[in-house]
Amino acid sequence: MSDEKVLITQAQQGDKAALEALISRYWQPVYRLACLKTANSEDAQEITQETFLKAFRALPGYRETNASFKTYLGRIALNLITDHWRKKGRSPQVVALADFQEPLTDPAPLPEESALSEERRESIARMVAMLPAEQRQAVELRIFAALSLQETAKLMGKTEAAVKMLQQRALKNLRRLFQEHGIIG
Amino acid sequence: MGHKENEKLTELSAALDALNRGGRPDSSDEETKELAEVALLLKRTGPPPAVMAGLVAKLGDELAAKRKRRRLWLTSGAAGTAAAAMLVFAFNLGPSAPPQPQLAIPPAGSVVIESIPAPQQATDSAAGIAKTDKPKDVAVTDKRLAQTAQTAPAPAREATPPAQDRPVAAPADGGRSEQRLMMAKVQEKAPEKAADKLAQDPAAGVLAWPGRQPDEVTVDKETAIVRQVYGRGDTAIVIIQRVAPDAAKAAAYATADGSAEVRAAKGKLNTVTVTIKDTVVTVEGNLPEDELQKIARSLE
Repeated sequence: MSDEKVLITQAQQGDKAALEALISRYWQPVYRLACLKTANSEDAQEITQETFLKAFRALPGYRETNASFKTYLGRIALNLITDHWRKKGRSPQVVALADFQEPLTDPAPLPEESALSEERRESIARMVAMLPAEQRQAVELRIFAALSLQETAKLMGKTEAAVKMLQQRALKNLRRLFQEHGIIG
Repeated sequence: MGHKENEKLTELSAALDALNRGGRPDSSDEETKELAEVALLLKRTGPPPAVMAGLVAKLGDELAAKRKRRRLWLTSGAAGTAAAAMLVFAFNLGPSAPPQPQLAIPPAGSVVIESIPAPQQATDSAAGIAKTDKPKDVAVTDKRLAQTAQTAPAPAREATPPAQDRPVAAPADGGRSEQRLMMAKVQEKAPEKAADKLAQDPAAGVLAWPGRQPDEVTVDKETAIVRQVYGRGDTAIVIIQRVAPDAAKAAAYATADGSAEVRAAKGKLNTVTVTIKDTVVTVEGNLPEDELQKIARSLE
């Protein structure tokens, strides 16, 4: 049985570690898709959370057919995105599951990633929240959602050069904050 | 913005793209390297911790509760099934009503391989196993036999002519052995006692007196008594063979029946009774008792 299947089986039984591993693994692609289709990082985050809630609530009945778990999540996210646009009284954008399948970061967690303590992760999240709004958005879209420079620029309504500048300033600010809090040397 | 500064921005952007593809940023500029390390650290944090913690806690509890409910449902379902199975089992083991005609229908999966015509002798025998003239239908549950029956080129019923069309020759031989073979295959009966055999088929258990041929052999199918008469006149010997429990019946037969010669000599006959192979054998004759004993012991 593959690692993913093992995790899904354990998650079906309510194993919290397995749930966390699956959410960590697939958070970014779902968030990226939601960012791309809602053009709003807050809405995207809400949709991403809802996607995982729906997916895992239906997990006891989830049977792997030809679709991977990632595709299963993608379909749920696309339905939620469609609902999101309907609620806003606008026609949803044409969304394609192919967007979701775009190459992203390696889904397998890096060894160091698991070693990152909960406390440290919370500290980092707090520092990101401290950034000016545009810098924070640039970080969320470019790094958390793994969008391209062009996509980020489009979503933020800025030029690519402006996004380049925003991401550099954001990272410089974060580096300083991390050093101050002893997260990095 | 200078050209060098612009190059740094582009280099940082390329490093972020590399991170997004799952690779490692490769930059010659020291500051860009440091900023790329910060970006990598951000990536490692994954989803916002508060969101993650909330999701995991909520989902973990929900899924565990769902699983418990599901297990409970399965357990109660299994208990119900077991109870139903026990009821069926109890009904089947309990005192049953006399068999109804519909109960004779073979169960699904069984194959009726042949209608075995009961041999005339067996149907008429004293054991009364077959007072009926109807052939017995044998339901086969043995898979091998069923398979044989299914794969056989033609059913036995079709291959053999109807019982009434068959030649009457040797009814006690071919027919009987055929039936025995079939019954042995189908029912896997326990080995029969000699007495049972005699009761079912009196002719099967005829004892032989070595070196002598009987002048007359009579088989009473009703009482399952076999009479063998050797010689006539003064040296007449009668061997009466019968099933042990029906001694009274056999004795009655022995005294009531018999050839004219035997009846004539009845007054001066000696009698020896022995048990051979679960059957009672009476040897009568006008010889001394010890001679009759010898004859009785020599019977095979």
